Amino acid sequence: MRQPFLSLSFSTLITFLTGTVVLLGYFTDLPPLDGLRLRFLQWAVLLSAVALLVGVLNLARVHWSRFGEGISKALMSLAFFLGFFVALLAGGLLGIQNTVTRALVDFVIVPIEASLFVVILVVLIYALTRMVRKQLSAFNFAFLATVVLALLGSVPLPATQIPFFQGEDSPISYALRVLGTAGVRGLLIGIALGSAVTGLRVLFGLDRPSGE
Amino acid sequence: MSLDFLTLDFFGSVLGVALTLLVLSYLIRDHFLLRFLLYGYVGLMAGFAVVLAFNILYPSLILPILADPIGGITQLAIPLALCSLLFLKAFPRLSPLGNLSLAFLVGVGLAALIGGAIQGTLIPQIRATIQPFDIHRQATATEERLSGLVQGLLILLGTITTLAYFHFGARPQVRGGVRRAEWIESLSRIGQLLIAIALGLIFAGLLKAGFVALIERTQALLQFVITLQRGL
Repeated sequence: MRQPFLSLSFSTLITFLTGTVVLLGYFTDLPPLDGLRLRFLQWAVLLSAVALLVGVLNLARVHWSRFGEGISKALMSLAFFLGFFVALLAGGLLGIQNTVTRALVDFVIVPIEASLFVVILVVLIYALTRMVRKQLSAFNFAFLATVVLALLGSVPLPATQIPFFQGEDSPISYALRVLGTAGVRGLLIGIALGSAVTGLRVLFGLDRPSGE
Repeated sequence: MSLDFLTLDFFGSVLGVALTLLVLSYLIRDHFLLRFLLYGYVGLMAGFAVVLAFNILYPSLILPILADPIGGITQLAIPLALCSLLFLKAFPRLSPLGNLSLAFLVGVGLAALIGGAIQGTLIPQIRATIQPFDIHRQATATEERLSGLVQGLLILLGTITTLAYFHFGARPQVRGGVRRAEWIESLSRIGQLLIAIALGLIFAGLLKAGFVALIERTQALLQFVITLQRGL
């Protein structure tokens, strides 16, 4: 069987060494390690920029290959390249502060993104109604009641407040704040623990998410 | 060449209104024009990503080498080599050569993730949970201290029950199958409700942001109609 040029164990070793240096730099006060950590982080930023370029290059290659796959796909890929070159021209040649670039952001990107968010809003409301129609368990009921109460609590009314719902000290607002904080804190601690453990497992080569 | 600001503003508004209506038409049905627009939008974002990447690489990697070729290459030899190897990932036949740079990137990324999770989330959240029980804490009144203590206790219990929901350590049962300990089951049921409340609050926040976007777009459409009525 043909071996890959850089064996898996060598890649894992590099991952382990760089990760350990950066981690030690985080948690110890040794000046050489801290300096090395900062240098490694700077290099990682540069590598991330190159990774971004590689990703875009791959995307452009895929769209280029679609030109020979029928008129519909070719038109879509044409739209991609139109947008791509407009952005390169505006952002790269004219500069971010140029009037045309700012107009592109104000009159093209902002309307598209805001409208997509409105579409998401409709989809979310539709999903909520589907959830209610399908099954109303205790979990679903708590979720739905929280959404309704939180929305009622933030409805802006001129010169008045809904009793029990609005205001910092209202019972509903207090209950949602305390229970919500507890839930979010538990989730955040859980996510942080999970991230740290998964990160350490990958760092030590116990897990290989890339499947190599 | 100078663009008349009013003309640019007017045609920009027309374009913005047209794009808004086009995207919102998705709520009726998906169609060719919308897909064309979204592909163009993806292209725009990809183009801006290239500009962003160039703005990172140019001052840190390219400019020092252009200014002093020998000194620059000597000083930046390692990042230059890593970046060059990673760039080979774009070419399938040479792609394995980029594994070294990718391994470096994964190592640094994971360490940053672990460090960020511990220093940025775990320690501050645990500190915020135990802070109300700090007896040396300065408080203006006993009543306030007591209310803070009650609130802290509720949050502590809630956090513990939420974490209990994610405890998956189960024991084999006499009748077969595996099950968590009864007290963990009970705690996790309360935790599940608190997770539902937390997710409900996050969902409500998303809905509110969506409503803000809806109001902003409606306002832009109305403003355009008013401008047209006034004859520009």
